[in-house]
Amino acid sequence: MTSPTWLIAEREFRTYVATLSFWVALALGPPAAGAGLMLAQNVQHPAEPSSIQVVSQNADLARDGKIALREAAMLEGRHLVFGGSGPSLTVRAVSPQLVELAFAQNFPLSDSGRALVARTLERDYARRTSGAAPLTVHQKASPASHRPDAAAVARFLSMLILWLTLTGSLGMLLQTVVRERATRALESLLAAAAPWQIMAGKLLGVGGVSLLILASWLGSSAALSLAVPEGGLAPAIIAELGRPELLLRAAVIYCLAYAFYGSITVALGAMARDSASAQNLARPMFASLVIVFFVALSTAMGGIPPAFSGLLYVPVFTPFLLLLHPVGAVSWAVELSILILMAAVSFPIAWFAVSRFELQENSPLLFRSKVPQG
Amino acid sequence: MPSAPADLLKITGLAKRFRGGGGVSDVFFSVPAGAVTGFIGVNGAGKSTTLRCALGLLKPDAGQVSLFGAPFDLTARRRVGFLPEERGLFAHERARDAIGFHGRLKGMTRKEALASADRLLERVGLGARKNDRIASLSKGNAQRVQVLAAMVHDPELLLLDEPLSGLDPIAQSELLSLLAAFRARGGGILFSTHSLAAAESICDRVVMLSAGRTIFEGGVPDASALAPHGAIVVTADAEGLGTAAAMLGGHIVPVAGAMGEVARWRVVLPRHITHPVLIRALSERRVPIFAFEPIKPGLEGAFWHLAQSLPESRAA
Repeated sequence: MTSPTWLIAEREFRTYVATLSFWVALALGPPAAGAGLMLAQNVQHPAEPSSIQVVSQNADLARDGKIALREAAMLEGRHLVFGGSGPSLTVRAVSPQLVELAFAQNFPLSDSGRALVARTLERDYARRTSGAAPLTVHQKASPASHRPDAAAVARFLSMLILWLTLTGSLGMLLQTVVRERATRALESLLAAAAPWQIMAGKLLGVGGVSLLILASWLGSSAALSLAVPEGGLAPAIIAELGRPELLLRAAVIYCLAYAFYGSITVALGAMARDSASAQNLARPMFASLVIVFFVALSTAMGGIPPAFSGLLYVPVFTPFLLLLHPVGAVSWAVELSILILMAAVSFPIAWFAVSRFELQENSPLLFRSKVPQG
Repeated sequence: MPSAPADLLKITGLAKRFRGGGGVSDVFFSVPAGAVTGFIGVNGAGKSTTLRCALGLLKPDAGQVSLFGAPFDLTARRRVGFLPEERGLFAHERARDAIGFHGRLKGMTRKEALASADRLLERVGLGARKNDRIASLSKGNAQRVQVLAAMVHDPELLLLDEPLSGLDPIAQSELLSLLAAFRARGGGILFSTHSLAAAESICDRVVMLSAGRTIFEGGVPDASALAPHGAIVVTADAEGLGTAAAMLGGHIVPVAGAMGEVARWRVVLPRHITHPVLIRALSERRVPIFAFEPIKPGLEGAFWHLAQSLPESRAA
């Protein structure tokens, strides 16, 4: 004997899996992942050699700078060409023992590559002048490199995947709730299952469909990443996404986000009289999700003022903004509190959604007339 | 089918009022095992509300519901088959899967549920179409599938809300045979219907509901015996009709459906006064008769007589 919750979940799952659109969504995964990986590789390996210039009043420093740049570029798999009018590295002797490096904003080296240039200069100086006072090389503060950092990209991708998965799932969930109304099948279901079982079954069934699509997309990305050359951005992102602590945290956040937004969607669907009114009722929620996305995007690009950091504690924003934070950037106690707050907010919403499923006067899920009688 | 107490369902003093009006105020009846109980009432009488309260889908304001001899609890619902008034199936599902799903919801294994679905579909002549999707079935066949979904788990009690609506006469007859077989196996059926002819043909007992109240509960012969003797007369001369009826020892009662000055009247007569005597009396008084319909002894006459005897229902 199977619980009504699982039976309803199974039926919802089968309903969607039996549609052509599901297989189209599933089939889109590998080509989309392939295209994404190719783009990521191109960020790391430009098609053309990068033309750069080293500027220094000291010829020795300029020579040493070029040597250090070649080493760093080689490690990053880049081909630098000196001369021309490309982005510059300015090497300036502040004092006999202090050198300052100033990289142009679009200089084609990662942050770690730039740091490596400084360390190489210090090492070479020490080799040349053994026993003399060491040279200190520091980087002049400059705008961050335009080259994306694999960890940040991985966090952004996990947020983007949550957003895409969630918006897709919520659309499906809304339709499943309204379908009971359209087919007038709810009363039969209520005679055999409790409202919470129906709601949980729908959440699990649609969640299973989303999970399958997500697994297909991520799985194909991981498989394709094996085929791309090592040392690029794509494998680094995949490796980041595969970090156990990031995966675990993302899984918890995904589940909470789905429970939170899913409960709202079920409640909205249960309040609707038909498909059109369900879509109208759900419009503010989807509009909020669009706003949330742009806030998250701005946060990822560093465009949100610190005054708005409190948005992390607003459940609507919590899952997305939390995913953008590196693991450990927020203390575990704070992170746990935020997640508990989100779960706590989800409970009354879920309770409300369940109550909408119960038969009551004017329940739009069931009654066509205003007063149920006869 | 396990043994069950004689009264599978017993409802006492049930009340459920709605803010916009309507609902039920004093419903009582019982559904015994091995019998078909007809649940009769006009639209809005409170039949569906009563059935929903009986299954715990609506919480009553007052009264008691006892299922299988014990106070209502959710687990007892597994022993009940329910066909709601608002019914429908998922169009994409195959007939046997739709029936099987309801069986599994009621605790059957997948194998048992599908086997039972196949057996029932064969029985109603839909065996060859068991793998057809609901969307491809006619309305009548889809409704038969829905009825089978209520019976798939071999319940002890069937609550059917208007099971005949939308079915053609042949499908109605097949469904009534199915219900008769269920009764023969000892199952109890509560069967709400507008069709008094159908109720008369299959029901052992009837419960009549009017304006949210039980107005009769008992055997079909007892109910039929309550039907008055007389006729429905359509005339523009109410005064002449009343005088003629009074002269014969009877009286007249207005019936809904007036057309201008012409109105419908129910003439209630003593049993020894025959219809030709009434017609002769009307003719002698030159009362114009546009239509004359003898009241047939049976549930219909009894129902209208009982319903219109209630002051509230008359007002309604």
